[in-house]
Amino acid sequence: MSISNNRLPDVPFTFQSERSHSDLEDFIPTPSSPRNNDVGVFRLSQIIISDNEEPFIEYSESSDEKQLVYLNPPYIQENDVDWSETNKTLGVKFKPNSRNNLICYLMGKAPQEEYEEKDDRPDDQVYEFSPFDVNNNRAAFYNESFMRILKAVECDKEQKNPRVLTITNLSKVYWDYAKILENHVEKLKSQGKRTYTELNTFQNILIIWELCGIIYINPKKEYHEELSRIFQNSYGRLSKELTDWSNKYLHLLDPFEFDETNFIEVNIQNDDDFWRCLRKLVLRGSPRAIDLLDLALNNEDEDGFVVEYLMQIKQMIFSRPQYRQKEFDKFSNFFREWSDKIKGFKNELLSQRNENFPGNIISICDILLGDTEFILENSSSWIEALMSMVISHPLWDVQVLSEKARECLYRWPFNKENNEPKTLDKIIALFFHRDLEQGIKYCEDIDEWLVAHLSDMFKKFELIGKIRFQSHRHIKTNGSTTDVDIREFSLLNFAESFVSHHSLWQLAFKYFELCETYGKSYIAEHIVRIPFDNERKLSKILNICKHNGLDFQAKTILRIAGKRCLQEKRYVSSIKYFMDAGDTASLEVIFRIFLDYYTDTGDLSMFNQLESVQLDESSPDSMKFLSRYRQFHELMQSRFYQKARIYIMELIRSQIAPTTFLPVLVLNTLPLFRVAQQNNTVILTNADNFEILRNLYNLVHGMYQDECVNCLERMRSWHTYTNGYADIDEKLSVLWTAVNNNQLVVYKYGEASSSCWISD
Amino acid sequence: MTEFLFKELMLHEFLRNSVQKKKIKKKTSLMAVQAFESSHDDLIHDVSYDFYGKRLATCSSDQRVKVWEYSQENSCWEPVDTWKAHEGSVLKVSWAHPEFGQVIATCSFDRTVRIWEEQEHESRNSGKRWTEKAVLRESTGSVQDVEFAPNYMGLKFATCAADGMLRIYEALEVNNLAQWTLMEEISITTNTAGKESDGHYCLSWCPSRSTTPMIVIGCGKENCAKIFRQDSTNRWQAFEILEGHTNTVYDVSWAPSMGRAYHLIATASKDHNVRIFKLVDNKKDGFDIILAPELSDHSVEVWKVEWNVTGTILSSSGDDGRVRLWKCLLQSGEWKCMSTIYYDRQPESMEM
Repeated sequence: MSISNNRLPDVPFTFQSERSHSDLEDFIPTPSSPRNNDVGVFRLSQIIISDNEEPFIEYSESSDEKQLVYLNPPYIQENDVDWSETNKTLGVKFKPNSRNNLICYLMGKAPQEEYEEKDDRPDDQVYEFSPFDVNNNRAAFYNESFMRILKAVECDKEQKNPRVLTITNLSKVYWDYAKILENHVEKLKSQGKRTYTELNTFQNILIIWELCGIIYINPKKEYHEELSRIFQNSYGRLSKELTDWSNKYLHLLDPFEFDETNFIEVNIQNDDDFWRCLRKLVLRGSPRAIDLLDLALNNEDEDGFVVEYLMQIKQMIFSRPQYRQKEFDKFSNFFREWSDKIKGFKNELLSQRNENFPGNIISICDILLGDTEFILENSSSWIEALMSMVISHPLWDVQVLSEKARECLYRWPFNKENNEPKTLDKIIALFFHRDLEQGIKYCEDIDEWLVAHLSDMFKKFELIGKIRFQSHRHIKTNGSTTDVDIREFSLLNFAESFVSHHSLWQLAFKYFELCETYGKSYIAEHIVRIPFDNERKLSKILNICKHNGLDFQAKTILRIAGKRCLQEKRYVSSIKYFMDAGDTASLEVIFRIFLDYYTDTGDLSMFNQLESVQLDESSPDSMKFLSRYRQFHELMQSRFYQKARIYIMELIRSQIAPTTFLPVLVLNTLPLFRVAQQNNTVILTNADNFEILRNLYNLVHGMYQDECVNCLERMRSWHTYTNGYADIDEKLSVLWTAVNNNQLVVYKYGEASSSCWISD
Repeated sequence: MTEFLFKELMLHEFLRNSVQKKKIKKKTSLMAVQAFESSHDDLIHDVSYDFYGKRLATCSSDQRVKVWEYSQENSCWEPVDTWKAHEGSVLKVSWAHPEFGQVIATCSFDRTVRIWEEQEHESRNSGKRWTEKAVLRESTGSVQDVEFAPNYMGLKFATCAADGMLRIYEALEVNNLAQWTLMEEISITTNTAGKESDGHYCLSWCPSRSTTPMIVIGCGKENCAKIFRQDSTNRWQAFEILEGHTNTVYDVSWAPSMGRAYHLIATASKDHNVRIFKLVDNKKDGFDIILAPELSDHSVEVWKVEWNVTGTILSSSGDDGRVRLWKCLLQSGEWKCMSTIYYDRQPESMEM
């Protein structure tokens, strides 16, 4: 199959580290190429950063573990090319508004003129690497979770509240997060197979979120007395909640399936599968253990003593004490009694002659009694072992739990084949181990949302703080250190990924606003690079600048908008933007465009656009000039000659207009002279006369002679009789005469007589 | 106590093993890679994004410049225009800030710098969409780098050329791209002999608005980089030298500061190392310069370094045909390679 065009479909690959290809199946297109040797692959090798000094370099060796990206046309022809012997090397550039979009390109080291050997073929490919857009299915979830983070901020800010109330409110927010996570998981489940990867991610998030909530959020010991009213007894609560957590999620962490139909006709005494299955269910505290026992009890072929033992086992499992908000002492006694019963039953069994059958029942007793050795031997994962112990020891507190978790971890034979710890295992282990900062760090492998929001909540509960950022010891240093706020670092990292998203970009800035130290810098850097193609978006961007006091950025954005409008000849919008930006230089350019247009065409229609521009005293002179000039022509048309005189003389005297426009202004006075002459009165005063005469002299004989010639030449094109205009030279000489005549009239009648009958 | 320490070690061993030995399915940011053929007739020397990352300019030894635009509709980069820009290899291309319009500066082996402006009314791929507004011929050697200054400084750009000179030009009227004033002409090198052969000069502006304007210049075969800044009389002076290189400096990049109290500058060198210099503004008339340990993973000549938009990730690439992405570890402050991107040939047995 050949590819005719030079464009390839997007091919996903892992940016930071390896991952299973199974979750890429939905969108990996079949690689195709016209020739075998035309196909190249990009492979990512990953150096995983650990706590240790040396990085672990992990290269994928087997072909199925490679991150393959098929590129066509080829990047280079030969795999073993020694680039140092060629004029080619690799270049790279980051996209300016995204954290990790980049392009790679094959580049020439030296100009071809300096490099004598000519390559056979210029492999001038450019490869763009970009992260996939934020999953659009997440938009609603992100918006909802942002509301929670705002609530958390509110709780934290309410200084009047006693700390205990703040903690209570924050706990509510924490469990609100859990609810929206659960809702999102349900939504993803209903969407079927196509969201498998996303569902898996969110299930993992939920598992970690709930676990952290159980271990860290509810039992804040320093507020124990007050909180005990709310949370009852934290000892029993921990076991109860972890048991519930285990029932909810253990099947995800360590899947176990069995088919009940296999045990319908079972010989209980000799069926190892039955006992293995029962042990597993009891280990997991699953209620299905009772169902399985019922199935066996229904088998009428069993011996009487077998049925009796099974009934006893069922009763013990059934009556297994679970903490139900009872008084601690009562529960403790009840639990002790139950344990004693099992111990007695076990001793009774130990005296039995039949080696196999009682052995299996004894194993069930061992699990129920929480025998660490036995549980570890019979569990399929360390987390299953730990959960089994938690279920069997409902009175453990957080400290004991942490120690038992360690014990499970240390003793669990992780190097066993096909029993490797997964990322989730590692994170759960760290949280049980109470290493929150490391736990959060490893959560990056699950999702950035989790890292950001977990660290935000942990910070608010004062569970994490700042990491001391130490300059490296090998270098010349003045011993300076910087504290890095994990919460802020995680939030910035999370929010940055939205900046280039078409709809979630605003959310990015809302998150930045929650970061006290670097938030403003991030807003300042990113806000100017948000592309806008309509006024609504521009207004949103400017509001963000305003809200954060970013004047320089706002003005930069306005100048960009103004320049764009100017290029599109949308002058009014351009003027508005430049005025808001205070960019007088660019306004000057528009000012000249208007004046040039009138000089060249005599057309005033362009000036009509200015009607919608709101001007005041502080507006730039150039814009006030244009506005006044438009008003002058309006007044002339409306025969308000006196006011028109004031306006035109103001314009001439202001010297705002370039000298190239001065002839136009001066010639604009001619109609006023004519009106005055026709009506035998005075409009232009002696001083006006003098000003016009002075400018006329400068234009015709003085310093502005060149500009005058140039301007008259441009005006000549539209000063034709067919257009209703007199010849420009004729007009100029008429003006000379009119000025002189006016001087005589002013002398004869005096200025006071003016406007006595001229309407104004 | 001993038991506790033992347990601690065991736990770390577990975590370490879990990272080192096992193939962990890590959820990371997925990326797409898209290739496009530039269709230049010779090697590309530079690729440059515009301010918003929506456009690309490429330049090549075929003396041409091409501008590309990302089409949302077709999800690919499409050519906007191609034109012959110089009489020699075009070595660098730089976009001006959009508040000055759509403006590009190119520099070339033909010893000139040219300024181009987009004419929106001209049709795409007509060869007329970008018009030459100015040709600057002050250099007596090939112009090896050109970069527009941050917009707060006005419409300015700096060049460095094989004649060993740093030149700074300014358009005094931002709307008149035909008139450029040579504001500064400073010798980069102290060695006045054989400047032409000293080549490989490169530059990067300090993007921070809160300090005096500064530029870092890679001084090629002088095996160092120098920081130039405007003094109190607005004259540009060299005031710090970034030392430690044992061979030619090929590239320099000044990181966006993002409100940090220090600056970061990265260099790429022929001595196979990437270096990161931390500049702390402690002294009255200069910086405390802290050189992080050399990043030597490439083990071959390193040609390019560039920071991402927040100055948190550094990319480097070189003769090993690999792009390495470096990130600073929170706990130790050390720079570590977080990812490597490289080409590998597909096994021949792969089904097409």
